[in-house]
Amino acid sequence: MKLELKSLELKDFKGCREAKFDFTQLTTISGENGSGKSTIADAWYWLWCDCDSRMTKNPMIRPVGVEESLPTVTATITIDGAKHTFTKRQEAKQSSGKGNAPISNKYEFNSVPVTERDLWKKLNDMGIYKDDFLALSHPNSFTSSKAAEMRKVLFDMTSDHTDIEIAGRAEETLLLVPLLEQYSVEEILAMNKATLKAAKERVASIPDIIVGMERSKAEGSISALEAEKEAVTAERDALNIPNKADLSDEYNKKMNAIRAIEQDISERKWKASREARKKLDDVSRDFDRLKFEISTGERDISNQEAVAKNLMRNMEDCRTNSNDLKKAYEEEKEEKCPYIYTEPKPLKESDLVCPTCGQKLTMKLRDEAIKRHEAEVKEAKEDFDQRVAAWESDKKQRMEHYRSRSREYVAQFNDAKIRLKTVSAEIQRLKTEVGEKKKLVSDYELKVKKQTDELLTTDEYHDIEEARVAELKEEAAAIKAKMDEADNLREKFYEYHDRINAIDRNIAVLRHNDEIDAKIDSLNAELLENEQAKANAEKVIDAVSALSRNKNELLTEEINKHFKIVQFCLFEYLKNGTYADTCIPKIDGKAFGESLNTGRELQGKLDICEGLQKYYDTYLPIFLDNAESLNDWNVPKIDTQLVLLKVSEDKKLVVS
Amino acid sequence: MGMLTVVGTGSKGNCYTIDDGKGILVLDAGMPLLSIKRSINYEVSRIVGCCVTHSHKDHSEYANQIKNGGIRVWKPYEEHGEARHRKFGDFDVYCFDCVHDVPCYGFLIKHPAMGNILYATDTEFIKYRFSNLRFIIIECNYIESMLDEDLDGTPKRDHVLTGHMELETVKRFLIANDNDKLRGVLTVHLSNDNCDPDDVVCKLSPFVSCPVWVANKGRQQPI
Repeated sequence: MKLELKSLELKDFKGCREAKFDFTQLTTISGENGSGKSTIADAWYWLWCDCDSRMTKNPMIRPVGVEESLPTVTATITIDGAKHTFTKRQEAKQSSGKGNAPISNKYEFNSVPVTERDLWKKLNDMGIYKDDFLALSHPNSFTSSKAAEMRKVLFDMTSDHTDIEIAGRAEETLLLVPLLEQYSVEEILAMNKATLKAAKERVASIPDIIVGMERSKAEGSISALEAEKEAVTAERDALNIPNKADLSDEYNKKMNAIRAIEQDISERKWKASREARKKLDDVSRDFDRLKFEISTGERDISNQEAVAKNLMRNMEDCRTNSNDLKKAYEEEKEEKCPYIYTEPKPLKESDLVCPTCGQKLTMKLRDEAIKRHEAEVKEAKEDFDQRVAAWESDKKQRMEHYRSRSREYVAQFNDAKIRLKTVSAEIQRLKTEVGEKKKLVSDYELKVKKQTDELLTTDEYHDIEEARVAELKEEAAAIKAKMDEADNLREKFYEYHDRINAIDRNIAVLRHNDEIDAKIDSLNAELLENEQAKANAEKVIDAVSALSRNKNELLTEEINKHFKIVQFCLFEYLKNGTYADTCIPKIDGKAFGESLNTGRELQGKLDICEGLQKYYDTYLPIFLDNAESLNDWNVPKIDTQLVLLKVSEDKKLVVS
Repeated sequence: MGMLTVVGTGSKGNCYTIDDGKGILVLDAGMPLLSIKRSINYEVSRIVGCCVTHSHKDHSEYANQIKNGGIRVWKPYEEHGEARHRKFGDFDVYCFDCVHDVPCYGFLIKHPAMGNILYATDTEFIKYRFSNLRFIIIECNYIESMLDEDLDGTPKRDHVLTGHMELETVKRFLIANDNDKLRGVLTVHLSNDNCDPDDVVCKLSPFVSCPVWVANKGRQQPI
């Protein structure tokens, strides 16, 4: 299919009011900046692709200042030699609301209005596709698209190498063959990346859990503790603890025997004492009476002593009170009269003048005033005398009161003193009496003891039994010592027992370590299983990467055959050594924009368009902007129609 | 028979795997887990453990990554060599002291089928003799005669050489440990500037009754 542009008519399009341009196989449009070169290219691309020559979608194409004008572009073209006209115009829709009326595009093909859909259906039938139009006819379109999109287009240009076929060529990619039967490379990659991500997330928290568990483990070794336990147990078992119950029985037996003998002895002692008392029977009655009298006497003594103590306390009180009163009396006696006589003020001259008129008083009034003053003085004197007399009589009365009270206390003191003397004498007498009686009693008791002892010493068993008791006591003490030792040993036994328990507890704690270890092991197993799942995905991803590398290597040459000067670089090794897909068009080994001169770059872009057009057998006119960078003899000879837009000194557009 | 794979060697990262067909033992963790996976056909779940010689990054950088993959990692230098023995699958691994500027350990690996395998790196010399070694993986870091004389006595020189084994030292060690059962010696951790692989092979081969190889990334050596 070959599309040729014969003429282009612009009406109200951007800066162009109305113009028509004719085109040949190679057309040059030149003019100064702003003369409207790009407007022609804008009109062409707008007509087909709704964009301007910079590939901006839905560009502003209405003339500046007269925006109500609606642009129209009409192209006369030939498609494979057959002539057609194609018109596109903007039209305002009927608007009911305020503001700018919405605008829609209207199409006519061969002067017949058609909808956009029908138009493209018709064009598709003729071999023109809207999606490819820019890529094939705009020099910048292909190189400015994304690497992945470019690769897709370029790989389509290669002979039928399927991914499966390429995967089957190398061992490293063989595993992809069955997968590629069901999925595309992109799907396989996405699926495995998702698997990888899910696997990473699934176990993300486990390493921290393991660290926590490891920290919670107790330190120590079970075998060391078990050895220690064995040693302690052996020491404990080596303790030879006598049976305390047996010892206790034996001890009790001994003690009972001692008690029996001692009872025997005391019984005999009592008997002897009774006999001794019988012999002294004549004095024993006196003895009882005396004992009674001693106790009565002692009670009397204590009574009398209580009385004496009471009296002494009274005397002390009297002395204190009497002294206090004497002191009060002396203070009263020393006290001075509190009143002081003050005479009324003497009369002054001013008192003898009338307070209202200021004149001296008359003689009569003057005498009256003097008399009144004298009466005042007299009254004051009498008042003072009276008050002093009353105070003095009061003082006398109080002093008298103190003195009489004091005398009373002195009398009381003297009475008590006399009574105390009597009571003391009585106490002395009673003490002497009781003392004598006590002596009689002790004499008697001595006699009884002497008598008893005499009786007991005559008993021949007495000494033997005493000796037996001593012997038994010794034996009992020995048993007691053994019992104490048994207690000590038992205590030691319990100490060992506690130590063994403590070791057991520690062992239990360490056994818990084993549990923790088992849990860690199971978590690690889970991690490893997950890591294997990751590895499986990584294996596929690596294989995909290898496939891509193999494919790139295989197809690069094939792809680049389609182009004369441009060579596409389809993969590269990154700095970290990893391999990555890319799509960089290069001329003479240099990428676009990288120290390539503009002319060479334009040649390259044309080369790409031409290569694509040839491959797709779709020849579309190419508008080449900035064509002044190319000398005429450097314009490539290509089969397709070329429109060069050049900046020149011409004020008006020159089409040639 | 087992397979020894060099995942990485030298200052950019040291890592070796020994596969006995059942389990895989990883020696040193200086390479990412993904690189290890690639060199063992992604069969990561067969890894039974990883032994790390010392804390320097080119040997231990990825130890945590490996640990987080659920693999038991043994770092004797963190335990001050308290436990001298660990069992990983059928691999009985014993550690021994090396001479480096940080605590460093070598490993003697006893395997019922493969026999005794020795791995020692980053050590000035090895103070022990081993009997019945079947395979030796040993550092041969530099050749005295290749050192740049201009750098003599500089701190850089000291840093580069301290705790690393010279060709002559390796030779003496091999002479001392050579035996009828020895099947191979793999020299590892060769310096880029101060060592020459061909020279190493030439100078060491006459002194052992088995072939001597030089490790390079990706090398697979049957044991």
